Amino acid sequence: MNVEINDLTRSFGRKRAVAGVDLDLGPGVFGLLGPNGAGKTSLLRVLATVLPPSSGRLRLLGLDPGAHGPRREIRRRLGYLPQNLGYYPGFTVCEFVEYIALLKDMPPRTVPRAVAAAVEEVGLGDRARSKLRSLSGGMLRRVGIAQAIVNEPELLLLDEPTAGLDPEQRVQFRTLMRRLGERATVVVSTHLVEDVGAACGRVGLMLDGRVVFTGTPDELSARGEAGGIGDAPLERGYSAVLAESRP
Amino acid sequence: MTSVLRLEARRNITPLLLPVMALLLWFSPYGRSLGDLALWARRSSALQESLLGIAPFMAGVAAWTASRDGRGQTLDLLATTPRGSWRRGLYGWAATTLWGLLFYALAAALLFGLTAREATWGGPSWWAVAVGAVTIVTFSAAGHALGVLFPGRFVAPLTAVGSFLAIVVGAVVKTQNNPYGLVTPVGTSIDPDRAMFYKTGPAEDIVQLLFLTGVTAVAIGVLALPAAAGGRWVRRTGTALTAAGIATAMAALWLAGGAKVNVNEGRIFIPHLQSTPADQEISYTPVCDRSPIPACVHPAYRRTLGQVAAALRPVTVQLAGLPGAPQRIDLRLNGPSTPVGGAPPVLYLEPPLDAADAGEPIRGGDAQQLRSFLVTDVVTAPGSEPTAAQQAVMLGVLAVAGDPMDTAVLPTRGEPDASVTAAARRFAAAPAAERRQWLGAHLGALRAGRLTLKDLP
Repeated sequence: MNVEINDLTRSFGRKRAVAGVDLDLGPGVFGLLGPNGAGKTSLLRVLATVLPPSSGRLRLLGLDPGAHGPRREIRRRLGYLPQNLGYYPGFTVCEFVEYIALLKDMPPRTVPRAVAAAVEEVGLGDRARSKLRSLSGGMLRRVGIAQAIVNEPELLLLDEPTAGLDPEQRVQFRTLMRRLGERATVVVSTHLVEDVGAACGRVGLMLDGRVVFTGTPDELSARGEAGGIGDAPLERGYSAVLAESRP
Repeated sequence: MTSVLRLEARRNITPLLLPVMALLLWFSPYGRSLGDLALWARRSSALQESLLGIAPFMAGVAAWTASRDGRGQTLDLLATTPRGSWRRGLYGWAATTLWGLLFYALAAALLFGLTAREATWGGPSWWAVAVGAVTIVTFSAAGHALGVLFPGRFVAPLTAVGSFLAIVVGAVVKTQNNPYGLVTPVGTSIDPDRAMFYKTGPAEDIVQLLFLTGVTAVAIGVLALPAAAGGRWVRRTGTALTAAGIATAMAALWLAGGAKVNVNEGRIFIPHLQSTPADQEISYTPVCDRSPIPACVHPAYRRTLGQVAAALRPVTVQLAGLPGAPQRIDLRLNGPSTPVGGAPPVLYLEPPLDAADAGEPIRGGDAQQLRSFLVTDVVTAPGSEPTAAQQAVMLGVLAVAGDPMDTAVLPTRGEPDASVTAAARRFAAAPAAERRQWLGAHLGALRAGRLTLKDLP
């Protein structure tokens, strides 16, 4: 298992953003759904080692992220796209991806080829030398994806990766996710259930810091047959599970 | 590591700001010194003084670079890389500092290159260059620390202004002869002109280097102390750097605190670094012209020799060869108080250095003052109030030299009697051969104060 979570919590003051999550994830694409404030981003930040858990057990790639040495090793093998991607406006696309690659301790001689491949993968090959300040929101999102995959991560965490992408790019991105999921664990947090249906082998649904459903997209769709709200089976399953889980 | 540094250096903001830094340099003592007489000590000092503008600017630039992750919301993303925030920040700081140092090195090379073509004696003060370079590093480190600790868009201008005020306050403290002001790298306490004649030693530079190094170590070290900065090794390094930096800065303050400073005289004495307060005189071979009484100057002032000799010639032609007249006039800073002495007799005069330094011709008031010093020292005995006869001869000789009959140039306490100016006019009106013959016969008695106005021709 690349991700092992047992009774994990993360609190901010009195608020428990993540409240006792149990999850085991191996290779494949795992979609994390949930309404605003459900705790998806907090859980992803914990998995990305940005935040330490308040309690519970967490192992990533078979290592304990609580210890400095293993945490560094995890970070070398991790890719992360935060919800709000900060960037340096004066850097070019290639420079920014190269910068992150170098900070991920990739051997410098392998970096240029890896950067070119990552930039090409997200369809920005023709804008590789453009300054980031000149790119549209969708292009910046693709730069964010490029930096996340540049080190061919074994654990890839993507927070709202398709936000700002046009339909054609979203289709391409789903293909990319499926391909990455063949050898790595990809966790995608999203509001868009169609992304989950198209790309994810498993799906989890969060509400109030808890994971209230895990299963395949088909299993989630089946939960909505009894009467959920929405146009698509997945949407109906999503709303049905939420309605059942709310006190 | 070098790959990240290269990337940081390529995208650093400092190169874009180099024109602004060049402007700051031009309007600093650096730019003004280019119009002055090329003296190595003065040019080295000007390079160091230019830090008043450049160092705070570098602090602001470093603060801007360091605060970019806070401003640009890249903290989350970068936190997931194996390199801790301290090591990541060092790349940006190093790039900014390297650009600053490159600019400073180019400025020093240009200034010293021009000076090497014009200067006639000595060489650059590498201690001043070292202090300047370390000052760039220190202010950059301080700016970096503030940028990391207070990331925001206002941190850069506030850091620049705060750094400028800090350096100005330090310089002001120094001008008040407060020894702790010595740690400030600008407002040098050593008079550059004095450095031509006396070995001043690097004591002040050493104190400044120690203090600046200490501040740099603290600024960089404290950033490694938080847990998020990195692992145990990083925190240990931070603790060691901070402790060593505090100790070094305190040692510098301790050394400075024991110093005796007299900025007006351009003297400092740091007992823990110098064995004796008396500066050691620099031995040099003066350069002289071929006037009737040769005028000699320090070789650094060789370019002013023609002007000095021209200023003195109207008087030296009258006095040359007379018994008691000097056989050489040596212009040197703080010369011996005995005007004419030694064998052969030499007259030591204080050079009008301000005019010479500014690269302006020695003429008008400066030339007249030089001539009056010469006449006074030849005609009067040292330390005595001039008699009426001595005053009349002095005024007469100066009048023949073309100076106005201005009694203000006389070294007297009160206004001379009208009979003195009348006798002076009479003396000046006498034929040159008669005056010279009279001076040859009576200069000794006149100098001894034994003659009255009636004895004059």
